[in-house]
Formats: sequence, structure tokens, C-alpha cells
Amino acid sequence: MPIASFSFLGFALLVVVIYNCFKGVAWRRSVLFAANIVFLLTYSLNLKTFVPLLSFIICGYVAIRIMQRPHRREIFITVVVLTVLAFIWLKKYTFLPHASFLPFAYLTLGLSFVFFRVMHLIIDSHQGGINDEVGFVSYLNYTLNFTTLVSGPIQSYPDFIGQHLPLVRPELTIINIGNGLERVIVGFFKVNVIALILSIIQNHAIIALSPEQPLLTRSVTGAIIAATYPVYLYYNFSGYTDIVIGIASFMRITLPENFNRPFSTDNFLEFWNHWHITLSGWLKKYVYNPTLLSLMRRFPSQKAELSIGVFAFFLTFFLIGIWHGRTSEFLFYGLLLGAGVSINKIYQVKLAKALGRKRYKLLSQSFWYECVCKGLNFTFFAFYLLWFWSTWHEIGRMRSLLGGSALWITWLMIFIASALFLTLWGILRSNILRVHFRGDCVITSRYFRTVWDTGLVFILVGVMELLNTPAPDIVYKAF
Amino acid sequence: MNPPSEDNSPRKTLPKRDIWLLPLLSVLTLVSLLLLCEATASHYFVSHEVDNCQYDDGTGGYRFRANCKGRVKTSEGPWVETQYNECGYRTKESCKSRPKDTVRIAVIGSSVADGFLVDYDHTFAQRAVTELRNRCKRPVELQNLSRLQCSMVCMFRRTDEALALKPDVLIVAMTPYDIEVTTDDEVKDRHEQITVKTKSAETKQNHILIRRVNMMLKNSRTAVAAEHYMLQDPSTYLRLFMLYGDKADFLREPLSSAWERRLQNADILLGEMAEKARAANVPMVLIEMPDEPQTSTLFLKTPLPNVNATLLNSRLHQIATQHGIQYIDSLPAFRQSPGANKLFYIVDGHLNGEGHAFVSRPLVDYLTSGPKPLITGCATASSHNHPEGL
Repeated sequence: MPIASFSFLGFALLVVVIYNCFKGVAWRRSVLFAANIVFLLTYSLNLKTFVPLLSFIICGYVAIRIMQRPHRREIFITVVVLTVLAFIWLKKYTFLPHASFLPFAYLTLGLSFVFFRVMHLIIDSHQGGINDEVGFVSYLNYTLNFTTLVSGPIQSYPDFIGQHLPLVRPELTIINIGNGLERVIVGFFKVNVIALILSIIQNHAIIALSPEQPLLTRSVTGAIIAATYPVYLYYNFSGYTDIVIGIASFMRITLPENFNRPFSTDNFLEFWNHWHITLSGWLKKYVYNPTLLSLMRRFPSQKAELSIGVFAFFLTFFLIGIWHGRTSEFLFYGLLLGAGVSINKIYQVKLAKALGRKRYKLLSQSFWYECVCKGLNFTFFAFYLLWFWSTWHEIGRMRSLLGGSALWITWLMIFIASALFLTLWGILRSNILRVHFRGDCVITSRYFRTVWDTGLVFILVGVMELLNTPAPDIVYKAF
Repeated sequence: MNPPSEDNSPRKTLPKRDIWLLPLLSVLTLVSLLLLCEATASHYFVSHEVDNCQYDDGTGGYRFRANCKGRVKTSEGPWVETQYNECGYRTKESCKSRPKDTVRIAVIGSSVADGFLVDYDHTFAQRAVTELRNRCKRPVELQNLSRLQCSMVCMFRRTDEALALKPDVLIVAMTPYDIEVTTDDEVKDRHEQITVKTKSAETKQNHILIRRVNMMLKNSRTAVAAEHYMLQDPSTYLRLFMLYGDKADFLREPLSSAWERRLQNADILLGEMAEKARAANVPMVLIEMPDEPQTSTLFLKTPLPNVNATLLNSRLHQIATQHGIQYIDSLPAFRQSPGANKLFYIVDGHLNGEGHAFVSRPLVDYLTSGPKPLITGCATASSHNHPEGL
């Protein structure tokens, strides 16, 4: 069942109504469990296809129970390694021999996000962070929660249980309902209108790209192909997140945010603090911090600090890259991410050292520097995303169609346009937010938002009904 | 696009006035957007579907004033100039004198056969004339006696007028709609010289509220624009069309009793028309002009159960054969078209210029190289290019 569809909305609203019918903990647990099963069954009615995913989840539960009892460190390491290997095997990473894979088709929907949740429970249980016994149904509800199964966001278990099964629940006020509804509307609009239009534009540009086009036209076409994808991906993924956050809020569950205006950031590190926040946060907690700490303990020299920090960043971002896919394109994507973050970190430290903290801060706040940094940040994002959405063959084809000069002009165009647009957008936004009426910001007032959201619904229905083109599915569903 | 966060404040309830003010704002926004859409759609979807040459003479269908010129436009198509000869036929050639050695064809039908909303040169009639002249290397003219809203009885009543033109061929061009709108009473009174008030769609509605809403929707350019885009997909179009009961039953197997009765009426009327043609020694040809639902059926990726586009055609073929009428099935030609949405004014339902090309091709092929060519001495289809648009 596609998330950004009226059928999902209908299903989710039905679950919400039933879920809120009674106050009992057992009722909520049972309703969510039933909803998760029904949601899974909308993907396949062949029970065999669920066996690998469910086996992974059940093994994960056994591992968590083991971790909650006294155990040796070797057992923890073995469990972690086996869980990672099981995930890699089930995801059919291409470096594994093909013959080793299961010989039948099976469902891997949300497997990556299930993996993050299971790993979080294993590690936190081992470290003593989860003291209460993890119940099996609650565990299944956590790992298979229909609002977060497909593409996250990755919520922690204590956070989830604390909101799903408290004895006394917060009141569901008309304001909560309004805010939740607004998130759903905005999410639908992002996926079904903006992302759809951007994907159509990109597809048209890919078809139009030809060596017969004049140099400037070819460069513009190339720029459209490369620059629309990051924006498309943002609207597709953040739209999905808005929808599930909105629906979960009706169940009085506050899912963590995954995006916070990522294109307004002006460096690589900051960008990943605003983009897919729960994934970055997960890797920071379970990869970056432990790596950094263990290396710093092993190499306590102050001189090694930068190298250790850079290595930990590289490793974390490399893992982010290869987590996204099973092929060599994603390996290269991971290398680019790792290289990008490493260079960014080294540059920041060296420049701050050379200029002094005060001058470095002043430089960072200057208009033109910020403008250039925003442009570079976006351009680099658009560049490494090429390995995210296309194959080596397609990249080679586009490169040969563009030709040498057009290739350079394309990237220069993306850099200049993004630098100017993102800076001007930032200025415009801050000016709009300054418009107040009787002490309240006009654009954030509920009156303006009611008008705005009604407009979005009107356009959404129009586009969905009239365009006769289904919106592309959620990109992160594949991961 | 991210929702702003004013309501993160600890406030839990709305002020009382907002309980009605916010929904009111929402409604006002919708109304404003609809008005804006209506204004925009009115600019791009201009419609003028009443030809100032048309009038109701009480014999069925709208006929056209002699030597009159008019203009019509459907909201989905261009402005079209219309011109009628001294007999009120949509034909450039005179209906009075028939030049020597000229092949004369007479056509009886309704608005689709008339080429309503289609530029004269792009109508199937004129396309056929052009192609016949090319193939046969001699003068060919086509007197188009078709009228708007002309039922089968109206066509029947026009037979004598058509035969009086002494044509070489008489063509009856029929659509499923023409069969549908012919009533039993009309058939019973077909020989009476009674005054028939041509029905307009509105007279069918009795309830004043429904009528008003219907009129509002019919006149709304936004609704037309929305339908135009929404119905581009043949499966969506057909899914909605099949919701009609009786109207859509000519596509459902087996045929309903109402459609069986309509075909009995067709049998009676075509039989008597054939007798008149035979008496005048004029070969008569029946051609079924497919409508949008029939054509959409051809383009379905997954066929609908019990839906058959050729059901009506095969029955008409049987009826025609029984009465010695030659039958042309133009539906197969439509399979080679780029898609149903390209051949019709989707909301209006009439064939567009491109659609007419798919009728003229089988017609010309049949007339010149069919089993018994009605126009002899012409080149075959393979030795000539197809008309423009094919």
C-alpha cells in the first residue's frame, strides 16, 4: 500500500479511530499489532514471502533477551556481527556469492529500518540502557509499526513505548488534530505534487539530453537533470515523513523529525544534521561516538585528535553511503560521502587555526562566504547523489552526451544558481517571518495556515485527479 | 513547506470564535480558488456550440439554413467555420446540378456524420472525397444531409430527400447514440408528418434542483477542464462510462432487452430505407461510426469482463446483410490509432478531425476496393498514400 495514497490514509484513519476508542493498554497494543499485520499483508498474501523478515525479527528478539541477561562481552560481539551479517545476506549485497541467497522471492520491506531498531535494542540492552523487559508483542509493534516500517523515522524503543503504552495518555486536543492534519496535507502535497512534478521534469530532461543540442541548452539540460534530483528526493522523503508523523500524532505518538531545512545549511557536516536526522543520529550514537572514544583511548595524543576525528567521520559517512544500496555505485557513494566529510572537517579545523577563531567566525557569518558555501554544499550533494539514483552506465552515458565543456558549465550553473537561490530564499523567508500582526507572526498564524493548507488540498486533489500519473513511490522504501 | 510551529505553545483549545472562523476561512478559500479556476478555464476553454445556421423545422434534428455561414467551437477544440449550400447541406458543391461524370455520394447521419465541431477539410466526408478524387482521377462530390441530433427516424425521413439527389451511393452513418435516442413511439409514427420538438438534454431533467446543479456543472468551464484532463486515460473514462446503466449496455454482453428493442427498431428502419434505395436503384451502405467508449475499450490494458466493443457492430452487420445493405465496420481501423483520447473531444464526445480520418479510410477502401467496389476504375489503397493524419 503506497504511503502517499488515499487508500493508506483511509486505512490509517480507521486504525486511529479504533486505537483511540478505548483507553486500555492491552487494547492499544492489540490494535496496533493487528494494524501492523494488516499493513504487511497489503504487500503480499503469500506467507512464505514474510518468513525471512519475520525470522530476522524473531532472532533479533532472542538476541535482545540474551543481552538483557548477564552475558560475556564476546557473546555481545558475536550477536552484533551475526545480526549485521544476517542483514547483509537478506539484503543480497552483491559482493556475496549469488548462490548463497535464498532461492525464492521474499519481502524486505523496511528491513533496513527494522535492522536499526533491532541493533539499537541489542546494544542498549547490552549497555544496560533498557532495564524493563521487552515484551514480544511490544517488540513486534516497535519493529513493525506501520507508521515507521517503510522508511522510518528511527525512533528509540523507550521513546516509542513511553508514548504508545503509558497508563495515562496526553489529551488529543483540537490543536493536536489540526497540527497532525496539517502534516498529512503537507506530506501528501510534497509527494504527490512537488516530487511528482520534479520527477517529470527530470525525466523529460533525461530524454531531451542530446549531443545535438546547442552547448548552452545542453548544459541547462544537464543542470536540470543533476539539480532536480536532490530537491525531488527531499520532497519525496520529507513528504513521507510528514505523513507518518501526522498520522502517528493522532495516536498520540510523537515520531522524531527527520528533516530540518537541510538546504539552508552551509556545510557538509551541518547538512547531515538536518537531513535524515534519525539515521545520522543513530550512526552518531552507535558508530561515530564509540569509534572516536575507543580510538582516543588507544591513541591519547593531542596530535592524533584531528586524524581520529576525521577517521571516525569518514567511517560513519562511508557506512551511511553503503547502507543505501548493495552495488558498487553505493560503495562509491559512501566513499564520496566519507571523503566529503573528511575534507570539510580538515578544512574547518585548518582554517580556524590559520585565521584564529574570531576571524573564522566572522568569515563564516559574511554574506558572500555563506552564499558560496550554500552553493558548494548543494552542488556537492547533487554530485554525489548521481551514484545514488543512477548506475555507472547511465552516468557514463550522460557524461558522453554532455561532452567536456558542457559538463563544466553544467556544474558551474548548478553552483551559481543554488548559491543565489538558497541565499535569496533564506533572506525572503526571514523577512516574511518578520511580518507581524498584533504581535503574532502572520505566516505562522492559524488563520493563514488554514487558508494555505486548504489551497494545498485544492491543488493536491486537482493534480492527483487530473494528471493521470501516479506519483513515484517513496525512494527510501527500497532501502 | 514545513508547517510553522506557532501551536507548539501550551495552548490546548482554540478560542471559541475559531471553531467557526477557521472552517469558514477554509470554505472561502475553496470558493475563491474555484472562482479563480473558473475565470482561468473560461479563458482557455471557450465554447460556442450553437451554430447560428441551425434551426428546428419540426421534422427531427436541427437542419441548417441554405447558403448560410456560421462558426462553432467546442471548449476542447479550435473555432470552426461552417458553410452550407443552397440545400442547407454541409457541402461546398451545389446540390442542384450534378455535373456530368461526377460521382455523387449522399450521406445521412447525425452530428458526427455532419462533422460537427470539425473543420470542413478534416471531416470524414471531405477526407473521403479528396482521397476518392486522388484514387479515381475523376470528379467526386458528397452531399452531406446530416443534421444535429438526428435520430434513426430522422435519418429514415431524410432518405427520400437523399435519393432525390440521384446519388451513386447512399451512405447511412450511424453512431450508438443515434440508436439509443430513437424511441419506440418515434418508430411507430415514422410515416406520420408530425411536428417533432427536438429534445435538448435539459428537458429530460424534471427536478428543478438537479436541473440547476446539472446546468451549473454543464456550464462550468472548470468542470469541463477537469473532465478533459481526468478522462484522458481510457480505463478511467470507460470505468466511469460503465457506471451508466442502460446507456452503456450496448457494450455489455449479452445485450439488454432495451438494446435488443432498439436494434429491432434499427432493423425496421434500415429495412425500409433499403427498400427505398433499391427502388431508386441506389446502392446503400451502412457505416457505424464508433463512439468514445467503444474506442476506449480497444485501448484497455486489462479488458473489462463482459465488455465487448464490437457487440453492436456485429449486430448491425447482421441487420444490414439481411436487408442487402453493404456494411462497413470502421472500428478495426481505430485500433491503429494513437489512443482514444486523441480521436475525440473527450468531454463533448464528438470525433475530432483526427478521429474522422479513421472513418474515411475504411470507407474509401470499401467503396473502391471492397468485395464489390461501388466506385470502379480507382487505384487500390496500397498504391496511394492514406489521407493526412493516418
